[in-house]
Amino acid sequence: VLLLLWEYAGRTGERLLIPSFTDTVGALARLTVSGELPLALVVSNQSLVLGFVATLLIGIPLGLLLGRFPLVDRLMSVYLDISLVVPMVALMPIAIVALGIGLLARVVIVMLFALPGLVINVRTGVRGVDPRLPEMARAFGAREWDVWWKVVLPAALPALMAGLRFAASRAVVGMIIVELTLIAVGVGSIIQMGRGQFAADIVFATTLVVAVEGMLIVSLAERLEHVVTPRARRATEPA
Amino acid sequence: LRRTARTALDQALPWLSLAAGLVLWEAVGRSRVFSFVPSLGEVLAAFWSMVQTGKLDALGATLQALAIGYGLSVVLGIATGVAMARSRLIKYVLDPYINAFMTIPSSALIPVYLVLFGLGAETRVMVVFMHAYFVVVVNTIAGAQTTPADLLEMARAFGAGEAALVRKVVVPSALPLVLTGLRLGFGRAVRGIINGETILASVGIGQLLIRYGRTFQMDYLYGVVLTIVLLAVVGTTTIGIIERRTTRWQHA
Repeated sequence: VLLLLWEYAGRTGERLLIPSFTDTVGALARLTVSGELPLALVVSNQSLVLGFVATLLIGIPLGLLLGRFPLVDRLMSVYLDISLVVPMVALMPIAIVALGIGLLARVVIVMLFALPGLVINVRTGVRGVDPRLPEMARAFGAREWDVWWKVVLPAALPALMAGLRFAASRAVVGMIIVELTLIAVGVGSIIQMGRGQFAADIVFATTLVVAVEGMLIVSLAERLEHVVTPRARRATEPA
Repeated sequence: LRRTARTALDQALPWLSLAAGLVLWEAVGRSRVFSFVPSLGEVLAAFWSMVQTGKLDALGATLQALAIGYGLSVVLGIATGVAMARSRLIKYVLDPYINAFMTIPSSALIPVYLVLFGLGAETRVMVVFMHAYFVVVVNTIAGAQTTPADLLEMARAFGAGEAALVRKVVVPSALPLVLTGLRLGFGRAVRGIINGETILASVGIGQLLIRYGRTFQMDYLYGVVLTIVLLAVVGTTTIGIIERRTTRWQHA
């Protein structure tokens, strides 16, 4: 229904502002055939993939640490709370002044966006582990490493997976925002170019691709979540 | 006595940690090791001069768009949520769209609003609205669905119509989750307005952010960031307090 309405609005309304659905698909086809869009997607996703991997490598150990040691948690939680409510966009200019406008800056920005949600979820997960389980494992002679690997981590898994999904969607936001504002490369630069030329069909087509990519990534994370933890309750967002 | 001393220490720790962070910041800033870290004193001076010269008046435009957009998403979000929880038809029609917009990164759509609505206030209000609305809707639905069926039945048996039912039974029992939605929504709304203005780069506090970033005026840039941090923290804390006050019976 929405697609029909869109087509109708595009055909009757001001052509300059609202491209019809078919126009948009046309622009999408042109951008794809010329190789412009696929190339831009590759460039954009470099920062997404690297940033997300870095988020996992830092976020999971950090979350475990915070969940395990209350003292570390008390010292860090102020900063964590702040990082969760503050729009990370505000820190982007600082990151760029510090790191330049290369790939590194984009990777770090993706990480800034994705990290807080993951850390908080992992921490919540570890805290929620029934304290009797590690105790019991130790009583049966499990070593510290085994307790972590075989007891705490599996019990914290549902929260961790929800954090992963949340981090993935935030990472996409980070990727696209930095390209739209400060570092004009990849998909963001095509959107900006379209905006500059008042080529609404290009803006719509590229945005559609980004939106679909975002949805795909999130639903992939959701699928993974269901496979790994079939019976857990799902959270929408770290509260 | 030892126990009270311990809890006092526990409560003081976050503040001590924050203070230590600020001292560290000042030290790093003074040492000039990193050109991109001005000292805390310089940042506060820049912040104060922005207040005095009226540079921070840009905040007014930001807050206005934030208030209108957030207000709209609260009112419409709760209404939509209740309607979807009460009527199966409405739920079936709207569900796919709500789900889609919950998963699409809201910020990716900002260029589209720009093309549609131009550089004016409508775009910014729209951006805020689209960031906050869906969380409110989803949480309201979840809340309204938790209304115990026997309460609904009882109210109906005593002759309550749909309007009274919603107002007196559904909304109160949905309140805790609705408030959670409002708090999450506020966080998203603030992110939305800052994202929007940074991409627009021509109004409000986002404009200041971009301008000082491009001209490497680090003390002013940090001053703007500080303003945004304060806005987000104060707003979220306030809503958190309201949440705890109004749903005290739940925590008791």
